[in-house]
Amino acid sequence: MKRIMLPAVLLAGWLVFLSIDIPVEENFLPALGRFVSPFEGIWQNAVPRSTKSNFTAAIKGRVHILFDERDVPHIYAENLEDALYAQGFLHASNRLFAMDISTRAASGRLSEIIGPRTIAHDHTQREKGFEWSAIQKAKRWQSFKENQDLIDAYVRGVNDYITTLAYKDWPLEYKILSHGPVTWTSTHTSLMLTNMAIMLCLAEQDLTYTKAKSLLPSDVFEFLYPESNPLESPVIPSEKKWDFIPVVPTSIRSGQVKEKIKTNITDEISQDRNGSNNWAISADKTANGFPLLANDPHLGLTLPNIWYEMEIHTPEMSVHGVSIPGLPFMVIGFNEHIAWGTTNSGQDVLDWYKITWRDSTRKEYLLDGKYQKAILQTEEIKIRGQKAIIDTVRYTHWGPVRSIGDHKDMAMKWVGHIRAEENDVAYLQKINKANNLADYREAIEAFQYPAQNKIFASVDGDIAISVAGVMPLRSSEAGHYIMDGNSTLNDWQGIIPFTHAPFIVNPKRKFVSSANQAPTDRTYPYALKGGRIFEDYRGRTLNMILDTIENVTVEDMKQIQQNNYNLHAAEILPVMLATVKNNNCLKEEERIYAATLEGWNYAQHRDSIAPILFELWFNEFEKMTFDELDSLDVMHPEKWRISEMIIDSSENIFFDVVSTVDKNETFEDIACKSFSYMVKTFLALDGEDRKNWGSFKATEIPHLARFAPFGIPYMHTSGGKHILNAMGKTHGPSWRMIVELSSPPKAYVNYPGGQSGDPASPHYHDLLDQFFEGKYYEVSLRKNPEGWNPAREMIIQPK
Amino acid sequence: MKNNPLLTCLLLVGGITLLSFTTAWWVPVIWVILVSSMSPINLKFNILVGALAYGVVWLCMAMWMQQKDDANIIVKTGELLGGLSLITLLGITFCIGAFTGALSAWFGTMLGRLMERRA
Repeated sequence: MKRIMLPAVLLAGWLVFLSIDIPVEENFLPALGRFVSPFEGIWQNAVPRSTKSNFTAAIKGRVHILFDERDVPHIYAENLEDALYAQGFLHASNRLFAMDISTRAASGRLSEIIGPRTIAHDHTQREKGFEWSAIQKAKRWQSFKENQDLIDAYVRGVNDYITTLAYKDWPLEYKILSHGPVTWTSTHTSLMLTNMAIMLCLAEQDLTYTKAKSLLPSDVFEFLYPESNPLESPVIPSEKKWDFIPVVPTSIRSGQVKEKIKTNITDEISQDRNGSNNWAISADKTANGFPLLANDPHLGLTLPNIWYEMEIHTPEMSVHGVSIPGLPFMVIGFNEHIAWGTTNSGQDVLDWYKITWRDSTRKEYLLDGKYQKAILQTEEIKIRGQKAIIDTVRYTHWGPVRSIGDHKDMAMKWVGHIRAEENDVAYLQKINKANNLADYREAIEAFQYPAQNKIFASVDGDIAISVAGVMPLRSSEAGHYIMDGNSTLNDWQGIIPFTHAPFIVNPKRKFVSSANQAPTDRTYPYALKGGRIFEDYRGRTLNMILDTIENVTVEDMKQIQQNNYNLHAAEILPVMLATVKNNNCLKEEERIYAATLEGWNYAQHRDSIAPILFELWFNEFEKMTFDELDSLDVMHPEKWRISEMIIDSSENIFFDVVSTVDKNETFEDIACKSFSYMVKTFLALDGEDRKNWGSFKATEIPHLARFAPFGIPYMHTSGGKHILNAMGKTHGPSWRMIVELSSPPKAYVNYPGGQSGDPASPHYHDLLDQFFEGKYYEVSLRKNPEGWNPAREMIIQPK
Repeated sequence: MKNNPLLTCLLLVGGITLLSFTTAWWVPVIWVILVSSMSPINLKFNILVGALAYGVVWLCMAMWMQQKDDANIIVKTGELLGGLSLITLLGITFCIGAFTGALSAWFGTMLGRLMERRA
């Protein structure tokens, strides 16, 4: 008996060892038994995952899915519910991990699978109340029966795929994290919508500007940070007359908190990385007499890509476009009658209110002279390998209360938290099924999220753009800085009525466009906040091109989407170059660089050197100019303001370098000094970095979970900030679409990635190279499944 | 089976392969214990055969999957796990399989001897 004990204990111990995750520093080595088993573990992920091509499900009719050569599915269903079931199934089978990680990131549940590394992120997300708000919205959806049935069908499709998965079928990322997929719910879908709203519309600079305002004299503040750019070319052209009587805010208070705010605060999200464009051109202005519509939303680029392209045919609609896995319907696309697209409006729809607590227990806060009870919500942050953290989030009249720096009393009021008056999916359903301008406007009315520029064109010949979404009604003074949370007089005064929201149909200039710039000019009777967030150059570039171009073709549209013209450089560089030349301050060896810049056509092309020189020079010039602000840790003015300051007058105190007490530097001194510095910096660059703009910028496409080997470490790309092709390091055009509104419509599309989220799949990033070479794929609605030869197919039969 | 080492080997390899394809990674352990307990004469032989059978089946399957790895997923996973090479991953897979097989065979053999004594 004794002799059996030793092998028994060793075997049992060994099996237990192989069955548990092993902590290694802040990471975890997955349980080795199943992880390395070649019959179940990572070895199984060496081949692409496959799904059954014929199966039964709890649906009403037969669903036939044909996949084209790019693995884009074309769903043919007998009703909408079944089509959305199939969409959910396909989303899950291609992007399950992406759906899971995106909702975890939004809700603050990453630490459950990653460990202590993400506690701070989870804590912040819980404090912002994203999950709380998503749960409330998902509950409210249940009162909209028709939409809820559609969401339920979608959710069922996701979960039916999940139930087919044994460990050996898990996506690779799950095996590495040793954590399986969870059941999908309506709340997850609601979280996906919240996640989009966070990505696009959580930018604001109230804290940063409050800090600047408290540290700088008011005249200096006004000089550096004007509210709007006089050169801006807004989304809605000035021909638009606002023929309504505006709702006047009952309070005209600024609401700005009076007491001194500590200065260790900064906004967490800036709008610096955005760059979406959309435009539509009237039939009168195109070569073949059909309206044209283009959209290229710019987002963080990852593998897999955020979008999943597909086509859906039901008796009530035929639509092609891109969807977001986790959400039913298409977000951007076209059907037989219309095409639509979207860009972010960039409005400031988040305000901070300073709360006065009754005492240190922080259970009651002052509001309109009385103490009100805060709602205390207990949040359990589960942490892999550690005991859970129990946290309490306090909800006030304004919203959840956050800690920012030393401030533990800042309530966040955000449009994304406002209770929807319609099911959030109603907008998607309506726009997917829209037949004409009236349907488009009805769909826009149902859009319940922070404002976006929704563009439209139809085979009827109409073009339109609407600034859609929830826009708070505030006095012109309110919403710029931290507000006093003791009085509801400082609250938003409702929302701007839909009929008063900016939109234009078939304008005289024969095009509509947006590029994240200001929605309207100063004649618009409502205060739209975000003057310091809006983009200042792309909108102007786009409108300049569209104003002058005639007989527009699809090829022209492609060229515009890939346009690399740097208007910022075109406006400021000649002034700076003339200054250094007139001052004769360049050394012999520096002149070659000035000549390179002089010969530049301002195209931020990947093979060009001049964009590197300009970027280095302007950055150093800006740094030297605003050394005073850096010493106070206060933000610099916007780029357009710096250009304006130089062009208007080269005389101002900011050109003086604070550290040189014996000299008062001028614009000329700073231009010369920063040029020399630029040359030194350029020569000190690694050889590869200074080869050309593409190698300097070094675009990369990371894996969604930042698993480096599954990303693309380098892509040679053109474009950049303030440019229509706003391709940054990890941020850029995520989907390019051009639709010709012929009957039936034709489209030209591509996106940087591939249809599959499985790194082993040939469709993981098969579209990437073609995308950056500027290639598009022609697509049209394939209404008849018998009329074409698919690469593969799938049939779902009702049980 | 007691006097037929070849049959023992075939039973182990066949059973481990079949069960590995159809069940969880640890189920073949039971098979190895069972087969070893039925031929408990030579402990060293059983441990060696158990280790080799489990290890080789795992190694062969791993190599077969690797042959089909057009996207270099295994090499990339090795990189992610601290720079493990393909050979190291194959080695780890073989060793874990072999050690599991050896311990199972050891325990099976001792269990067989105990049962024989009891009988």
